[in-house]
Amino acid sequence: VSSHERVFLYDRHEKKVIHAEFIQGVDHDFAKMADDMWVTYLATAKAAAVPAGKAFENPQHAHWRWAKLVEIAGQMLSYPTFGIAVAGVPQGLMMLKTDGAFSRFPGQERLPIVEVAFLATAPWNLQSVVATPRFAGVGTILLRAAVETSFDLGFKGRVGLLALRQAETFYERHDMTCFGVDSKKPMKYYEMTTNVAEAFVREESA
Amino acid sequence: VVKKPMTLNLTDAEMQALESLSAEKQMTKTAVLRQALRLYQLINSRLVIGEKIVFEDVTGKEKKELIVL
Repeated sequence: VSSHERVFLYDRHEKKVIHAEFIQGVDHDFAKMADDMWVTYLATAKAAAVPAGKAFENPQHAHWRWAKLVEIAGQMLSYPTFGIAVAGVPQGLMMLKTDGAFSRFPGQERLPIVEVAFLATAPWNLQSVVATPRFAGVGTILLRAAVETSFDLGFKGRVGLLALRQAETFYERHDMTCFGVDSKKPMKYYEMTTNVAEAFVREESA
Repeated sequence: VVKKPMTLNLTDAEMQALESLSAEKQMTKTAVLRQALRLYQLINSRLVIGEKIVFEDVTGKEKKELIVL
């Protein structure tokens, strides 16, 4: 079951706010379109950058295959998926894990959190890929969806995740607390408290 | 997302268990039951393809299979 609603992004090329579609419950075709378009775009960007002597760094999430992830998530309530599209073109995708993860704040270890398992924006929206990324706000809307899911499930806005290095500053900008490098994976763990989550939702609603 | 209401009749023991989990997890009783449904769906999906649910102790040495009806 999927639902669609309207959200707003800032188009840096046209210098104006535009309507985008927020999708809850991503289907296989949309995920496959994201895979195909993003891989092709990155290959083209790399092919142009290297001969010109420009530095090119692939996004660390470039190897994720969303069609496969969406297939694995299937209709499982514990793995909700979200997407953002502009004129049908995928701009960002996220998969959450809503069960089996707990807070790492002292004294809250038995309280459940929503875990952001995968979150990626289209390569043309990334500063590391293009000098002037196209749409601003994709990651923030997806993170807000994770926070709202946490509130909806009764987890009081608590959200945690292991961050890709390239995304660490994004999560720090949203006042998520860094717990340092995870004991099992070589990635930093970030968590959002209830207070920060409430402020985040208030700010984004204003 | 539209939510549909439903009425639930529980025994005293079931209600006590629900209230205990609700207090421990600092969640409403509705939130606990919704989580229970998600977990049951997840576990059932693994069992129907022939997988087993196993609990492991903190040392990782002892494993016990969870029987789900």
